[in-house]
Amino acid sequence: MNIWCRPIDGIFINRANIYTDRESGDSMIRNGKVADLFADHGILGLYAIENDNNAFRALHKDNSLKEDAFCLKRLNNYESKLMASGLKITNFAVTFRQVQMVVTYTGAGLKMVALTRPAVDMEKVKAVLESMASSLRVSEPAARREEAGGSDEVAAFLPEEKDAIIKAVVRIMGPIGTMIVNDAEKRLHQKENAGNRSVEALIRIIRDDIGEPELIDRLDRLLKKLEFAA
Amino acid sequence: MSFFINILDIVKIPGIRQYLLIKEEGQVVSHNISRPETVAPQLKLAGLGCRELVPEKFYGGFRYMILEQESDDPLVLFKLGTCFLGVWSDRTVRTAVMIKEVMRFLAEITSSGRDKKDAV
Repeated sequence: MNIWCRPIDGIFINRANIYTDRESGDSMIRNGKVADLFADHGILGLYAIENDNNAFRALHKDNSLKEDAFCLKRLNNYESKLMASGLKITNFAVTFRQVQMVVTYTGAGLKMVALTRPAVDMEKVKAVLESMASSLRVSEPAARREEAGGSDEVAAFLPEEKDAIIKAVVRIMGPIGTMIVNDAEKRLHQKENAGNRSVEALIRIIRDDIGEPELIDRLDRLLKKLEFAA
Repeated sequence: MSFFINILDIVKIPGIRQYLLIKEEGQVVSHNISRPETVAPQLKLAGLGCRELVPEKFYGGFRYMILEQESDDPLVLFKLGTCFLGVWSDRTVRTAVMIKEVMRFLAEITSSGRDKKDAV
């Protein structure tokens, strides 16, 4: 399962704030609950969206988020227009030829958007989302620090993303590439970078370290192929 | 013309209480609701918005939308050529079942119209 985390079209996907299971305290993805839950219900992907900051979080998705991010951004505008027209929406689903979007409001300013196969019954999806929402909690920064063993150093990107970046840098710089990325990550976690520990910030530091315009250009192209905006 | 006559039969589908058929521009074509002029702009907004929500190349074209509201019965909106059809379900039938029936009904009445044209 590939999960990507990067800003697309102005929407910030922050996977560091991954939702956790209220009982076990474990990541819903890490403990496999999400995947298990969805396999039987034709759910292809799930996003949790916080209305206040327009941020959404991918809880589970097999493919690139690029198309979904575009659509979710439009979805927010669309909802606002519907509400302004006087419709008091509680839930809704839009079905396209290939995908269905089911939108459920779970309270506390959080809504969940499930992408399903078109034929899936909205009622069933809603039931799954509602049962899931009751076992989720948003990881607040303090809780995340606690989960990370009291450390302030909570990465705002995923290990698999770091691995992909290492591969790209090693291709450009040779074996020293791993050291460059690790060193950049260390500096990313220094105090002056607090609040900006995104994968883009990491890439910026790496680019500065490489310095050579030609090499940076090659790295940018490689990262673009890996779908990391450089 | 037969399509617009046949559409009246939509209320015979179990679970459907009311319907409103409008053109994309918002003009009311056929209905059995009390205040179509109030609802038509909302239907137009919902329909046009849905169509523009996702480019066709991403998920394919828009087919229908289910809208659940606080107090009212659920509204299901279908795209029908250059028109939008809104139907209100009375919750006696599962929405998914009702949608299947409506789609079958619409396919029937649109194909019967085409058949007649072909015969001429």
